[in-house]
Order: sequence, then structure tokens, then C-alpha cells
Amino acid sequence: MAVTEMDEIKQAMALEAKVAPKGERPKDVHPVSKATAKQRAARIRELRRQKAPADKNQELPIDEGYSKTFLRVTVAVSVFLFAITLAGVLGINSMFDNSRKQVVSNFTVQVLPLSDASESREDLLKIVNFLEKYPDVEQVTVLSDAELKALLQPWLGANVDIEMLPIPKLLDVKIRNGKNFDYRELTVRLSEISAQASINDHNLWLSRLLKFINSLKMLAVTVLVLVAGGCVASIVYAAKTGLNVHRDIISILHIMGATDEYIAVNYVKQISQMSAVAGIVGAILSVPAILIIGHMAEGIEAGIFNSVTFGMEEWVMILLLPFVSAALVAVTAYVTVVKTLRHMV
Amino acid sequence: MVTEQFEPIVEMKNVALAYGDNPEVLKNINFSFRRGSIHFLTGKSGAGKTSLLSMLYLAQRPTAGTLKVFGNNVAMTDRDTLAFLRRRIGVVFQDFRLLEHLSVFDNVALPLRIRGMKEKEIRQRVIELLAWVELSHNMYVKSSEISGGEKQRVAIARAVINRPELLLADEPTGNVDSEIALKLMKLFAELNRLGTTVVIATHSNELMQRYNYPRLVLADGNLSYLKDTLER
Repeated sequence: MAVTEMDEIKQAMALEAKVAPKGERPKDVHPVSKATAKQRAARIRELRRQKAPADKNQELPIDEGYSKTFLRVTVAVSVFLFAITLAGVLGINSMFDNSRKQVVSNFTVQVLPLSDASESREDLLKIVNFLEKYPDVEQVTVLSDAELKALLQPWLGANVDIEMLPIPKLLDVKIRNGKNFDYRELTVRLSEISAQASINDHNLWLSRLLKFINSLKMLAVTVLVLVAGGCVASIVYAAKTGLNVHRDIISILHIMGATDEYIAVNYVKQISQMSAVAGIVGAILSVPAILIIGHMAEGIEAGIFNSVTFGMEEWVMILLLPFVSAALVAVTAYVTVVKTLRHMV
Repeated sequence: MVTEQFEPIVEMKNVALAYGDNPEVLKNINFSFRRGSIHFLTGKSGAGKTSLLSMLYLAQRPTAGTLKVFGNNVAMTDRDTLAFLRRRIGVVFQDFRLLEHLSVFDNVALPLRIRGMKEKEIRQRVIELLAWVELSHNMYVKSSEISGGEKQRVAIARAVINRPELLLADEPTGNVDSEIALKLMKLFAELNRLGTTVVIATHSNELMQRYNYPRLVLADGNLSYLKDTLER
């Protein structure tokens, strides 16, 4: 016999009324407690005055143990590598900038000797006079024989008498507006004064150096991307593993009405805090490493580059890395958790 | 026309549920729970009681038919809306399913925190409820460290702290002695008196004899409604 939905509802209501008529239901009987309402109220007042313990566990825990240690080490090592690479890039930039500043304010004129010594001296004097009057030229210095000897000594040895060799004279020319100095025009004008003079304006050398530095920067960026990729992959793995381990807890949270975003934020808060701490450790460890590398670089920079100046700005950038990595961890973990939860209850 | 008094809180029309390619565990179920009702859900082990309950607390979507909870067709409802609907449902599991790493307080506070309630208000409500279920002495103890009966009360406190419109209890007396079972049934009756719709899954004839609530019987995935109560 087909029973309609409404019939069922009516039958249920009648049955419930028969089983426990509303008027007969006891109103003040506590189903569990034997204490009186007054005693319970006093107890509640007392409990509200008590302080809750400060250490509160997270709803979705990140387990202590191998997985957590792995993540901490990964983040600390990543930040360490980030810091070293970043310091390297900043250091190279600083050296290049300092070198360029000096190079663009100087150039060298080479004057080849003539067969007759007195003609050579005249030629040199003519060139010096011309350069001293040339616009934007601040100072012209003829390098002495002793200075030339010192420059050549590493290649020719200490016992060579350079006066016996047809060594060109070198003029060190300081200029005021190096960036906009027209070397081409000077070259043309100088060739009209003397066929023996030629300019080394360092621009060719500088552009080659710039290319080399840009290649180093690209290499550093590649390293950073690889390290960041490794770090992201570790977080994705740790988050997925953690969620799988805590599938039951997630299921309960969902049943209680938690949205995927609520669970993700709960997880991300913990993992970000943890990675910020691990990142700070990595950044602190990188400081002595950077100082040691810097000290070692001092030995090679002389003669090739100018000095590395590492100011407050560079150190701030390096010390901000733990927080940048924590943000990277947070975004990665959030996206991973939300995506993974979409496949759960 | 359905009036306010007869407003169904859950409506099932030709509802079926199957896990993967396996045969259906629930077949062609047609029933509605009206607001403020109380029912036993019974049947042999494996009859599908837990599956039916899991559909009611929106952990499963039916594979066929229409299930409406609070007027929302579950098949057409997005994940976030389902989460918000679940906040109106309290669930007591047979195995309690407490978060063992959390304290009694935090377990009970969980549904309120999920709702985004302020800590001050959460504290007030949880303390009050824990005093009511006589667990205030163990408030900050980890839930893994309390007895089975206490766990049961924590599970119930967690299920009712949100003042749910629908309370689902899966074998709530299965793991406790008869004295606690009696107290739990009194608690459910009290909650029902206060307006909560209650569904208690049980296979205990003793319980059903003592409390003559209407029974829904599941057998081989089919649901039937028994209007006659069991003889004492």
C-alpha cells in the first residue's frame, strides 16, 4: 500500500505525541548532571575566571618527525643558497659599477715611439698640449718610465731594461663627463695631430665585461629558479603527504562544516611560521659564508675589478629572504592544500 | 501544501547510493524528516545505516534520486554551500571521531571556531556546555586521555554546541554502559524537545523498546517506515 509523504509525517507526529506528550515532559531535569542548576552556575562562573592554557594545538597538525625535519632543512638550505647566490649577484653588480665609474672617467692614450728620440718627445708634447685644451679633459698625466716598468714587470720580469725596448708612452687622461664623451671625434682629431697616437677608451673591454656579468647573472637566476623549484616541490610533497596522513582529521573538519579555505589557512599558518624560523636559520648561516667568500674575493679583485661595496641595502635584501621564502611556502602550501582537498570529502 | 509545522528538513526521493562500480547499498529511498521529529534508524549490521547517515550529513552525494537538505538539492550544491549546510547538522559518531591531539575544550569549540565565532564567546559557550555534560574537570585534558563515556559526552557536546537543526547519532550507545546510554537518550530527548530534529541509528532492540520513537528500518538497502512501536 502506497503511503504518501504527508501521511508518513502525520503518522510520525501522532506517534511521537503518544510516546512523549509535550505537556508531560519534565522541564528541569538535567539529562546528565546530578548537580543542581545553582551548583552548575557557580561552577561555570568559577571556570570562566580560570585562564586557558597558552599552548593551543592546531586543528590540522603538522607532525613532528621526519617530514617536518625534512621541510625545515629544505627551507633552511634553500634560503642559505638563495642568500649566497643573491650576495654573489649583488657583489658582481657592485664591482662592475665601481669599475665602470672609474673606467668611464679615464682613458689611456698610447703614443708609439718614432725612430728619433727628440722627434718622439716633440710629438708627445704636441699630443699633451692638444689633450689638455680638449673640452671636458680634466688632467693629462704622462706615465713615467718607472710606472711603465712596474706595469710591465709581471709580464717581462724584473731584470729587463725597458729603455732598450721600443715601449710606447702612455698618457692617463681624466675627463669630467665620461658617459657622454665623444671618443670617435677625439680619435679623428687626435689622428690629425699625430699618426703615432691611439686611444684605449675601455668601452670595448667594458662591454665584454658587461656581457660576461650578464651571463653570470643569468646563471645565478637559473640557480635561484632551480632552488626555488626544489623548495616548492618539497612543500607540495610535504603538504600532500601531511594531508594524506591526516585524512581522518580533514574528514571530521569537513563534516563540522569547515570549508577547504579554512583548512588550508589553518595548515598554511603553521607551515609559514615553521619555514620563517627555518629561513632565519638559513639566512644567519649564510652571513659568515658570504663574509668568507668576500674576504677570498678581495685577493683577486685587485687589478681586475674595483672593490666590492656591500652596504646596508644589500644586507637588508639578504636578511629579508626568510620572509620571502615564507611567503613562497605559504602560497605554495595554500594552493596545494586547496587543490588536494577538492578531491576529499 | 507543506505548512511551516510540516516543513521537511530532509527530503529523499528515489535516492540510491553505490560505491564505485559496486552494487547499490541504498536503493530507491523515499522519506522526509520533518523539522522537530525524532526517529530511530535501525537494521542489521551492513544494512546501510552508516551510509544513509553519511548522506544526511552530506559526506556522500546520492548516485541516483534527489536528496534535499534544508531545501537544497545536494546534487546541485557547490562545496562551499555544502560546508555551510553541514554547520547546521550535528553528528555523533559511534567511534566518537574526536581530534585526539586536541583538548576536550578545543574539540567542543571546533564547530564554533569553524563558524568564525569570537574566542570570548566560544569560551563562554564551551564552558557552559562542558559544565552541563559534567566534563569541566577535564576541560584542558587531551581527548585521548579520557574514558570512553567521557569521550561520548565530548562528542555529543561537539555535536550540539552549534545548536544544530539536525542531529544524527550513529550507534551512540554502542560503546557505553547502560547507565550512560540511558543518560544519552535523555539528552537526545531534551534536545528534541528544544526543537532539534534527531535521527538515532541503532540496532539495540532494548533501546527501541524503552523509547518508542518511530522507526525507520533498513534491510538490503531498502528503507521502510514502521508506524507500530515495539512491545516492551
